[in-house]
Amino acid sequence: MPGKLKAKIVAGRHLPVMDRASDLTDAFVEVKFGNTTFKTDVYPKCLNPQWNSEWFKFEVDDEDLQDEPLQITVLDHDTYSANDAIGKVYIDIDPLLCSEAASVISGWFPIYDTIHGIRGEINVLVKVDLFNDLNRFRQSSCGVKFFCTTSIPLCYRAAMVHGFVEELVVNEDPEYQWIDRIRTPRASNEARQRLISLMSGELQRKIGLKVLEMGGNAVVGYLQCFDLEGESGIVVRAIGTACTLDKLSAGANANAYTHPNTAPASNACNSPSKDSKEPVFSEDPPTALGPLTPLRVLPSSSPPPFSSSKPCSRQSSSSDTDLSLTPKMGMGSGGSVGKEAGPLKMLLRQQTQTALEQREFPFFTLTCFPPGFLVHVGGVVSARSVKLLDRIHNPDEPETRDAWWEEIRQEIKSHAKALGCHAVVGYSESTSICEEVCILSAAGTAAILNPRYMREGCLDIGSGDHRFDEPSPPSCGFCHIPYDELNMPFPAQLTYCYQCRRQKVPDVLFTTIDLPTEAAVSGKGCLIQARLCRLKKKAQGEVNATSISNLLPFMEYELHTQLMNKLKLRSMNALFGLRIQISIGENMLLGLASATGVYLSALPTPGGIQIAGKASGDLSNEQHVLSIQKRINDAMAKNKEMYHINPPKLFALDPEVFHGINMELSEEAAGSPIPEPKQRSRLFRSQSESSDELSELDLSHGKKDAFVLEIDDTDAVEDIHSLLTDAPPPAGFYSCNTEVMPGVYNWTSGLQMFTSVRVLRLSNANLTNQSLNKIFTDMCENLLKSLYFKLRSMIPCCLCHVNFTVAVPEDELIQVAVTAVAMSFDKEPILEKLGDRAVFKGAGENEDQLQFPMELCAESASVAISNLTAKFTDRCSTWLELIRLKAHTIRRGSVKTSRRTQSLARSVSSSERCSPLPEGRSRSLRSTRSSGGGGGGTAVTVVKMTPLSFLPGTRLIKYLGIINMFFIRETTSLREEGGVSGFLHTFIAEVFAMVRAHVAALGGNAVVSYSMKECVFMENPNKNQAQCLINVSGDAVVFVRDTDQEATPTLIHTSCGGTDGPT
Amino acid sequence: MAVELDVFVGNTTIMDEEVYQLWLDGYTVNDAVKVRMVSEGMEEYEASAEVVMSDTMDQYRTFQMCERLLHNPTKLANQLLFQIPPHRQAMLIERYYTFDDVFVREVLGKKLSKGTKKDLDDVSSKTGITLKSCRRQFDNFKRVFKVVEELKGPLVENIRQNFILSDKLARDYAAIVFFANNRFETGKRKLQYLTFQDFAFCAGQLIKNWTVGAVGESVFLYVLDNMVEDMDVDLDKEFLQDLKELKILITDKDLLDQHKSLVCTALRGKTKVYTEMETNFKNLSRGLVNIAAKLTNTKDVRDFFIDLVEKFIEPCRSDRWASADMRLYLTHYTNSAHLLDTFKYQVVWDRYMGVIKSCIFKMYHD
Repeated sequence: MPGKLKAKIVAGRHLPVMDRASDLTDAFVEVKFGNTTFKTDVYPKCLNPQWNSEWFKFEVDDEDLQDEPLQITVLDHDTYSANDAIGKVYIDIDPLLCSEAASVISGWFPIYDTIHGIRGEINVLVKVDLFNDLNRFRQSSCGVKFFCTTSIPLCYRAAMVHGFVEELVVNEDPEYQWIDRIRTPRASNEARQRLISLMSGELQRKIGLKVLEMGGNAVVGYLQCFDLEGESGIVVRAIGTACTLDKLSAGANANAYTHPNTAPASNACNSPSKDSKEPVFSEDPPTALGPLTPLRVLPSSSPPPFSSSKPCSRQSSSSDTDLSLTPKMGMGSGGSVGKEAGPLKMLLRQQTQTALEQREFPFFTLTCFPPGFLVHVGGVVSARSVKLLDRIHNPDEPETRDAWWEEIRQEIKSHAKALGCHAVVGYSESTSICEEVCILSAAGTAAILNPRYMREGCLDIGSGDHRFDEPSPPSCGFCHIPYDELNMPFPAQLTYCYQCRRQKVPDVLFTTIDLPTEAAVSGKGCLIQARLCRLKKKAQGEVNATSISNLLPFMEYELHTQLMNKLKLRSMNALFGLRIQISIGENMLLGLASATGVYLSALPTPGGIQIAGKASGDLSNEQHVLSIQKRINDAMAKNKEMYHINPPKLFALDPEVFHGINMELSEEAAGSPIPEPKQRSRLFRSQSESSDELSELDLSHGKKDAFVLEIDDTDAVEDIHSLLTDAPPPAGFYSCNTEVMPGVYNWTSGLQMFTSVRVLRLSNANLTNQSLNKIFTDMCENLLKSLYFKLRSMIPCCLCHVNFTVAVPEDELIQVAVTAVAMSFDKEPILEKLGDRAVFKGAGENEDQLQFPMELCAESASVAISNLTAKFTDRCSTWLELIRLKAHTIRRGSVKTSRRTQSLARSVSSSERCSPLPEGRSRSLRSTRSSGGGGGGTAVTVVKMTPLSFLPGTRLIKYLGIINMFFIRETTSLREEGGVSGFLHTFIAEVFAMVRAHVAALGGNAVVSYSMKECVFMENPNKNQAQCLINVSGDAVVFVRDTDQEATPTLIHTSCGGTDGPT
Repeated sequence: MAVELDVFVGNTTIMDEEVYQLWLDGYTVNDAVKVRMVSEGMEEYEASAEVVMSDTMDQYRTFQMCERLLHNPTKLANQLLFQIPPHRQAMLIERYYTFDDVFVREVLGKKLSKGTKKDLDDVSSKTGITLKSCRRQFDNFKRVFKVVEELKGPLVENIRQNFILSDKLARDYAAIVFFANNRFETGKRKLQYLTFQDFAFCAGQLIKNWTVGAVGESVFLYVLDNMVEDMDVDLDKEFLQDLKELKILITDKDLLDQHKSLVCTALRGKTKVYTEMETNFKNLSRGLVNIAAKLTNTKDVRDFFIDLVEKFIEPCRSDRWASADMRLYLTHYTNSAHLLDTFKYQVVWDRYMGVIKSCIFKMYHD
């Protein structure tokens, strides 16, 4: 019984009139936790009651503390009949269980009723006393921090990244229980809300346990989803990345909190790898870490930590495909042991690499990494599977669902292997359900990671790094192919990297992650979407599942082609943040792929798009082809200008390249030059049938050249049409679906997060695939246009993290929901900016000049050696890498100057953004919390919300805990509430309000990494009814403006318990 | 194919001032779209009718949702549903409570009852202001009236605090409430030339000098004493009673002549219309004093403004007095009374004439 929960009901305001006769309300409050309920006195005849109750105390297990929400019900007392409920407030007390987060919840909460919406507000105070050391209790995992943010949270540093954690829990859906026939909609909705709240609490606790077992203290990139499977129940599942995070304390200069993207960083093109670095991970450790012994650096003496911290011993289940590649790795590095210098390093690498291999799922839900973490990126890996749902018989043994995901993850893993990668980053999972058919999807980016971050004690390595580590890898490193050139997993066109000229790069790169901060980019990025609708016959059960399975590969292929074409049209060569969503409806499938296109300087200039006419040689037809070709070429030229794409002329003399590409095209007409990521879909008709039924789709095997569009093909006409109808954003607007826009740095603090939902009703007419496609495309385009129009006052501005979700809620309905943030930026404050650039450029050039010769000789050495060794090994890329490391080590030993200049350059750049806070002073910022808690204040705290992990122009000084809320709203008076639009508008506004209220009560002033994960809308206009379910999540934080020197006024000191050092 | 549902919700509630004005002016969504399409700056965004329509609908919906809060502006500041920056809140409230002078002229002094509300369509067609907007303005008057009716303390301050309005607007509302409460006649043809601002000024003078709250220097003493309700809304009965005593100025022949000669002496040579002033003195004086004497009757209070115009302003105007002449005359007329030995009601006289003077100054125009 290790916890005491205390709650106090202070007051209410703006209560609804419950007694028509007096126009007043006799309100009282029930406070419930678990099975214990307390009541306040009735405060008679008042709409603004002041209960000022005693402290209600609940003595409970910490397991319950984690699972259960505190439930506050406001009622109207009625002497003669039953008391009427006014509404409820559910308070998740999880943030109070972590000593680093909030210490008290205090503030005004909207009183919410699932039928009437918000009805007044209530002021509540909640505290928790935890009795003793949390780590003794195995069933609870209090103290493990959760972050939705998919990067290392800004005021922490990652001491260690443990890896993938997942869990799911299932239950019956109260809406489908027999009792639902006799209870009121309100009761049913509340049962559902409560159940889901319980389930997510339980899920979080279980994940927390896994994290503790792995030796971590936090989950980053926590992604929790609900599958409402109807008759077969509710599944709540979550994935995340377990980490050991250290709060940046002593050395926490202002600099450390500043997001790299908010800093007026140098143009990435100039000196990308050096100054846009995330300081948290900077190679120069904060001085405070100095005293730590650098000796633990020698990791070869300690066993690789993975084996010890492996979660559950599921090793047995890891697929046999693992084995095929592991030995090769061993061989590659084994050969190198014989060479002099740096055997430790190699051993290390080998060990960690194999450690990663051994891990069940080397997946990372992170999308943004410290520089140097990501070594190479292979490409997108994805897997989908179609399943038939059946009732979950035993909620305690959710084995089938587990097995389904396991299957998919294995597949992803083997795809990554095939790409020569040992890890998957930017990993996510999703489902789409229609009746009893369910598509499970998983996607990520195959990658090779720097093992340094996966070792115990890498924190310490920081200080020893100077001697040991290679200088930060070249900024183009992640573009270099991870797979073996001679033994490529798929046909691809490789060229030498346009930046370093040393390694091979593919000509196009697709990824699900954010653009690495060190990447050199030419111009700006843009949102690219591929949209697709496919009709399907209505069917039941297995037949339905089969027809869906059959359609999926074609959809993937077409989406892919569309993306590729649109990318080319914009003269770009890489996609980041790729997210492909496929939704099923009764009679159609919807596919939507969104990504942010950029021009990576390291990759070759993309070729043009060629239109090929019919062979017949018809003159008018030829004319037509020519005119289309011209339009496309014009569009490309225009796009180039619009996105400021000017790759260095050295590599891209446009006409030549154009010519060259055309030649290549003709040459390879027979081949299949689509250099695309391995993307296979394995489709199971039902869970019983297994691998022999597997149909594999390799997108690269198409006969058709992706860049040659044949005009006589109806599909191609459609393609060209969709290609050319995508309207560019109006002047002053940019858009992307990643964290930030490449090429835009000078953000102002102006931002506006929004959600927009549209539902289109299709007319009953006979729709063809084409017309449906057009409707869907127009819908998305119009939605974007509307957004631009609405936000026009923010120009110049960028829509960031544009997240589209599509659904087919009913037969003839298409629903599109968008959540994004509009951020305005300064339009090149010319003088200042120029000055800035000059400084940076100066620094960068200086560095370049000094480094170049060294680099050259180092390179020549490595090349020489690699030439020798290449013969002996088939994994020359690994070799090259290894030898390069060694070469660098040698260089560092002999030439000190380069190092010094480098750090000089860095200090110039960092002084730009770090305020010279003395160490001692910033220490006081540690574990502090602004006491906005008083709550009684008249003014409402402004709470900012953003889907991004940072707020421009501010420093995040504290994470208060995860916000994960689920609401249901129902109405039986749809018309009176302004129709469906009025209903949903109110509901979304209410959800925002409740999120803000919870954040404010925790003492926060913003939500970062906010997302609306679910928005299920159902209507029945004939019955005047509608229902909607919304699930939102994010991280509550406290931020201070960059300009403020000190943190917010009152600082409450919380003891920093030993929650982070388990075992 | 039809858009079934279309919403946009921002964390900070987006409100376009232009659309807000259209909404306040009672435009339908379709009309508002038409206006917006031709308004400036639209080509820049290549906004199609569809896009503008969607935006307008959204904004209208937001305003409708906000309207409930605007009825009780103090709630707007601490409600949680909409996150609106304070300066925007102030704008929303101020605009919502802003009214058209043309409209208020039509209902000024009328009872704010259901009956009056029914006649609003006439007002609408007469003024060209949409019925919807008329109703909003009328309801605003009524709401403010209802709230301050039951409150103690200074009227303007009450309005400003309960509706968070600017000082100017609060004063205007005080005037409207004051007129509605005392039912001053303002609709007669002879009064048509007067603007709302003229009346608002007069109302301000009356509130300041003739109501219960005006007695004594410190208004707040009364607030503290909780003695008087509606102290700013009702005229001071005692004072009205005292006004009867002024009649002596016209009933006592000596006094009247004495007063006239004093005034004429002072005026001689200072104005072009001296002759007219001299001949009209008795008439004008009778007019003003009679107005004072009759104010105990509610009916005559209602006719206060029309009496002023008929008994004083019109005669003067027909004699072509200039504004300066009017000032000169009234100043001496008031001051000379102090020199009358037998006239004992100096205080009441000053309190009366102070207001009359400033009202007439304000009302004396074309």
